[in-house]
Amino acid sequence: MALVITACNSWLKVEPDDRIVSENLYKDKAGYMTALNGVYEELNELTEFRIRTLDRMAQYYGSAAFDYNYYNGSSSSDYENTCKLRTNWDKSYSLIAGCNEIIRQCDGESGIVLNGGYYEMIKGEALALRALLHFDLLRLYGPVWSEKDAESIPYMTRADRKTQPLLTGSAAADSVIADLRAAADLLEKVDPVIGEGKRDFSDGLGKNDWNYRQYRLNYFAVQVLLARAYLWTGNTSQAGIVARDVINRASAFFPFVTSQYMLTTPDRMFSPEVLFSLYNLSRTSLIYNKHFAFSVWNVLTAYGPNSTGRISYMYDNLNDYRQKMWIDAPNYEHSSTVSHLIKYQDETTNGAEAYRYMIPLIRMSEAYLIAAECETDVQKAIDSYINPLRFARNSPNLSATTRTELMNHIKAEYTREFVGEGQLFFYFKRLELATVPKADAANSTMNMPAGGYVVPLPDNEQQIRGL
Amino acid sequence: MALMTLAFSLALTAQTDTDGKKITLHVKGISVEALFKEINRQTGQNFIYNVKDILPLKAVDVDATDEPVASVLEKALSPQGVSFKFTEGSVIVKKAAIYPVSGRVTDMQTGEPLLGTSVFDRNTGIGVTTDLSGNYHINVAEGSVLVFSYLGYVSVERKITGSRTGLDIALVPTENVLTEVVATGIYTRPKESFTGSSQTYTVKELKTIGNQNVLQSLKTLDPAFAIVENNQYGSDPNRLPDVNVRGKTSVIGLQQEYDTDPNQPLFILDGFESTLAVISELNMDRVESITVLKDAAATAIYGSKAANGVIVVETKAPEAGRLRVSYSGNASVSFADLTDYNLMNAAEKLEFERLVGNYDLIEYNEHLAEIRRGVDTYWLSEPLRTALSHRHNLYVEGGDDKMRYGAGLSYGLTEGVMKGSDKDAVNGNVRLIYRNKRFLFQNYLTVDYSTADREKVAFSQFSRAIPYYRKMDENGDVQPILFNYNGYTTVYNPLYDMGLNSFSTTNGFGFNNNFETEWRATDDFRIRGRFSVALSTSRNKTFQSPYATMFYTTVETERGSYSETYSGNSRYEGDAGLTYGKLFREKHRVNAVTGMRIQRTYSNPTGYTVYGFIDDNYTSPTFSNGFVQGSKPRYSSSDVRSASYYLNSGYAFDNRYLVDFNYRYDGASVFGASRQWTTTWAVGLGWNLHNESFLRYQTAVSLLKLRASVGNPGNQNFDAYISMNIYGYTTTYPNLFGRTALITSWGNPDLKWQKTLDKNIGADIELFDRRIRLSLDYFVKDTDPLLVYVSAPASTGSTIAPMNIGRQVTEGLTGTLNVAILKQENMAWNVSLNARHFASEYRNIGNLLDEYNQAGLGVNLQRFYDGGSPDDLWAVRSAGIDPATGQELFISKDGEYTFTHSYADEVKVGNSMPDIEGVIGTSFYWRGVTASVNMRYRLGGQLFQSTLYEKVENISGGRLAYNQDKRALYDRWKEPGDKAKFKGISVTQTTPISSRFVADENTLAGESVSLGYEAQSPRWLQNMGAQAFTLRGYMNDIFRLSTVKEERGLDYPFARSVSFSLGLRF
Repeated sequence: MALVITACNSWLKVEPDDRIVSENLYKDKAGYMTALNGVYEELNELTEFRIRTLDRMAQYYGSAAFDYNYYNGSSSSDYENTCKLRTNWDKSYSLIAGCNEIIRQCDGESGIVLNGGYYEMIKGEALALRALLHFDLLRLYGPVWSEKDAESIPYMTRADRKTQPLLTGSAAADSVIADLRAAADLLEKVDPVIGEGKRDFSDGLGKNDWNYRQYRLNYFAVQVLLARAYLWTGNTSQAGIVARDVINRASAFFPFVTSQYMLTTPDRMFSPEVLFSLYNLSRTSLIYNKHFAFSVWNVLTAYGPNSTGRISYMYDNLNDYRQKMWIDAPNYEHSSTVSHLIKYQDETTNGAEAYRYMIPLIRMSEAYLIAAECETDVQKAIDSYINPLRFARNSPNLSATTRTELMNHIKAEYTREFVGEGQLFFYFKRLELATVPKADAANSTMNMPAGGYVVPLPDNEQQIRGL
Repeated sequence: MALMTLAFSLALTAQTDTDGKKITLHVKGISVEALFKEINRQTGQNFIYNVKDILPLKAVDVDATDEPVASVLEKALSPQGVSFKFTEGSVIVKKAAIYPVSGRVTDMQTGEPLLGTSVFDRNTGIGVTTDLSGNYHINVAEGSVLVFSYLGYVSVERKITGSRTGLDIALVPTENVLTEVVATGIYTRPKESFTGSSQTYTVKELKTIGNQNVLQSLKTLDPAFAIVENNQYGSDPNRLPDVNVRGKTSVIGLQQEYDTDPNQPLFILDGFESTLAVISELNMDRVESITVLKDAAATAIYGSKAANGVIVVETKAPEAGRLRVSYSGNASVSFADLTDYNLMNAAEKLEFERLVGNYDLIEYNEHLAEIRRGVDTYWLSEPLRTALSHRHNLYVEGGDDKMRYGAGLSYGLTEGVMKGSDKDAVNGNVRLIYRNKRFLFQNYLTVDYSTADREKVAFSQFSRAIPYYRKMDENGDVQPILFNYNGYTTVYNPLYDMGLNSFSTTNGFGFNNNFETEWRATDDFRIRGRFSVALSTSRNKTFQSPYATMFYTTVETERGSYSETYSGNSRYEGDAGLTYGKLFREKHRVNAVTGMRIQRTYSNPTGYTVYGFIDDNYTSPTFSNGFVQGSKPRYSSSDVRSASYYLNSGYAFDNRYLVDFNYRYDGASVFGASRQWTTTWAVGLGWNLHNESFLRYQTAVSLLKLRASVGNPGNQNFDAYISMNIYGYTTTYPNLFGRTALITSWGNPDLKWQKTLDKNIGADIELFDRRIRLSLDYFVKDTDPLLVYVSAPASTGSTIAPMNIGRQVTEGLTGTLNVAILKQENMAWNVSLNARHFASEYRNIGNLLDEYNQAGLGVNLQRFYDGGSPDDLWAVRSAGIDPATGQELFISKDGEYTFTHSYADEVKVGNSMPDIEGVIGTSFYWRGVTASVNMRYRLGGQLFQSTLYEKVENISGGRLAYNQDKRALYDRWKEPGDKAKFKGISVTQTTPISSRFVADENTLAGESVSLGYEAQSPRWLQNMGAQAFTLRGYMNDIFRLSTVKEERGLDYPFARSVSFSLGLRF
């Protein structure tokens, strides 16, 4: 009888053939990598929110194309959907839950298959992904740092997916930092990026577990993320230490682009400098064609033509590689000329595979800008961090004598450097700027209302929590 | 009959001979001789007797007031074996002789001895019971009447005039002998010794109600079995009914996340699991009987699948004998029931628009001109037809003691009342049975093929169309657009879509083979093995013409669509079991059934949809433009396996006290890896009072049985992978690192299985030779915990999560009463009544489902509160329309009147479950002719009248482009002082739901009227070579009276039908 029941037990275990039960996936390294890769792959789903909503919130685009903008007070009552806020929240937390399952499995019974550095890499990257996702949500929904004790977001770390309380802004930031430090500790032991750099080549049969580190949250990317998080909490000393460390150790592998390179390569990603990015084969159809292509309805464009509009004030010289990413073209109604961003336009020249599918998330220049901001010596900041970046962008050196001047330079560089990458709004929010650029004017500012930096939690989350 | 004659003649004698002499006497313990003296004193009556006969007699009690002498003597003397006779002037009293009588009682049909038959003296109530061989021996007084009585057989009486040996009696089974055996699909048990609540119906009973569908007939016969009326799809032949036994056990309507309806009963066809689709399409002429198993003791043998009751269907087995051919044919005519529609005509609609004030003067005048020209289109009739359906069944059977065979072929075409909707089905089946002394082999093979077509346009499209539009233009062409309201609303012509070459066709093929073998090791012990294979495929092809109005706003390259869905399904089921049954020391009966069952069901639906066709002559997918960007073919698969061990054991003492115990240990892949096995149990008790000595030897009460049971049947009708995290492979963003997978369905490993504690108390009573039959059941179903999909904060990773929450307690009472008012050989008249009352209540829900309450505000009337019922209707109370302003006056929670509607004021305003629902019926039989009428009544329920809400009260903007209910014009408030039921006609703001739209609903519906004729070998039949002939005509759902007027059958109307069936056996 017992024998029959045992035989039945195995017969009763059914594996569906189009899906796979968690227990069966985490049987070997490949299964773990498949689950981890699923999270990286799905991060692409957050791109539209980042490049469209976040950068509109950063007031880059003020065009004839009508689109809801969180701060311009559109009447749309359904802004959660039109702005992809709901998608961003749901998807982010769903991926976080995915990370938590990976982490649980790493430390569970099946984790023993993860020898040869896989444990450190997989768990480290999963922790870092969890921190990255939470940090972006914290920066959006959380309070400004001066009100760091206000409620922010739940920080999900449990695989059982029990509802967690809303943490204060500072507690959530502490969790981000803790996860990132744990991730860095794990990755530091095994990540080949530390000694060999990107490894942007294929091992042949597609087994790229340790290659293309630029498309993974590698040790250096995690460190920049950590510096970013420290800076968010106002911890400039730690942020500076980490940023300088990255500059020292990673510059050899992630060098600034040279004028020689830029002459021959239409690489608007500055891909050699990119520390972490997403890989998206459909970048042209899903990103460029939908949001930036000329004459597309709903296109994102900067106010006015390059010569007299927003762009003419955003950049201080016409040779800046970044200025060249803006092209004059008629707006979609053909009633005027506006600046179009061609950063994500497709390139098919030889070797373009290195950047044509890339969507950058963390780049080397941020380490320089963080280091500059954390440097108490203004002159040193200009010399060591601002001007090297300026040089790499084909722009003349700047000078500054006061901290205010320095900060203005940093702000201008943030604005130029991270267009299309969704970082500028968070920069404004971190510094709690009272005025921000006005999107539908060439060179004007608008006041940020009190509390304007905090996006309310999605309706669904509020309702269930009884808020 | 003998009894009546005797009593009659006795009374007659008394009348004439004693001249109606009566005495009054109240005395206890008076000797017989003293009694004679007293009678003589009061009446002057003389007695002649032998003192030797009288002295040994016992003293008697007399309690007579103005009672005839004969009656007093009868009571005093007859029980003591003394007879008396009135002669000229005196009464002769004489001791009767005692005669020994013996013989054997057998079954008339089988010749088997009938063990336990009661043989008793009708006068004295003294009697004996037959032994194992059916033999009896009794001493009775001369002239007394012996009654031979056995449950399930017609009682026989014999007058004893002398001593007899070999008084052999063959008892004839009562007509529906099948009702006396309960077939559970796994074992059969005599009903008398079964403790569960169940009811069996023969095909004859089912066919008295209707000839269309076994479930429709079952609904009329059994109060516990219900088909929920589908207001959306009415009598669509291609929709499956929503059925339940004893109400619903689970919370549904929260989120329909389940693969299968979690309230559906389990269907068993010839011992194997079947589906609702198969049973509802089963040809009635193949059916032998249907048994509804209701309580835990009856269903527990099906363990974790049994919480919703079990419907067991047995098909006909061939009878031995020379080759016999039988034919049955059914034909029916159906037509749509539109009596509940109350739509405006052209003039009314236009007048309504004028009063609303939202109209364009130019358009108004155009429409008015059309109406003046006599345009008043009746759209409703356009998609409808008088549907003709027919079904034929040919069956051949025969064989000898050892080998029997039966083969059948049937064809049926069912037409729906909407044009283009029909279904035809062909079935072939062969059954072979081989039996010798110890072995039995049986194989049953069936093959089905069916084709179903759907109507092209929903009925609602026609009921919406406005009558001041013409169907066709002046050239007789049907135009796609009826009218364009200033460019902002386009009104399409449903007739145009109906004329296109769109289609939706489903082909189904099924193969089913059941094999059974049985070894009768000893008389008491049997081993049985059964195996069943079922394979089926279904292919649906749906084509939408590119000209269809639904594509008018689509880009040209994506107009027209073709989709194909293919599903291959297989099911294997095996069962091996031992059966033991023995009677010890003539009093202790032991039954045991134990076995193991395994089952695997696999299904693999796939499909795709392509878009973009040039025209609708070429409908093949090769003419399409292909997939719409981003769409993919569909594919899924499900593999559900289960294995179980079961035990049913019963003990009966002297056929009086019964105990049943059921146990089942179920393993299923759907339970998840961590908890693959679950146990279910049930205990049943029964007491056959009619077998107790104090009720045994009489004929008034032939059955009086009390039953009680308790058990915990489970429910497996949930998503197969609910407890596990499931990863799905993704392909949207391929990258350099190989495969990617994401969690597509989040499991809850802590989920407990939903179980129902089911308690039942019941009684079965048969009185006066089965003239009155009553069956009552009271049950309490306690489902704890409920399995509910609750909303979760998105931050947990998913917005919906399966959870165990609260309880639902359902109480119910069902009863069936049959009274034979007339019971003669050639004439019978029966009246029957059945009724059910159910009430459910939520407990321990707390505020966990508050989100559903919030989401339901303004959308539906269902709320989830502790103590509330799933059937309760919640709304703000309304005091009606204020005659002065035309605005609605609400009543707040505290009873105050207010113009402001606030959801905080919601209270319970009704319950959609009727207080009592059932069927009242009567049937009359006279020389082969049977007439029967069955009517369904529903009393005391409330209904939310969506027609009033949507088509009378809230007609704004876009809805003005549809035709509306007449009451919108006549019953709405127009000017101050109007006592109207509905708000001001020109008010276009949406009115929130209030109690104003909830009304008491009482209905009476003619569910079945039938008239039949049955003949067994009359001459004219023999001339044509036939042995038996039946002809029956039916009218189903022929009328419906209701206290509310509410549109029913929105997308497909309800049908009324008249049908005939003919049966011939050669």
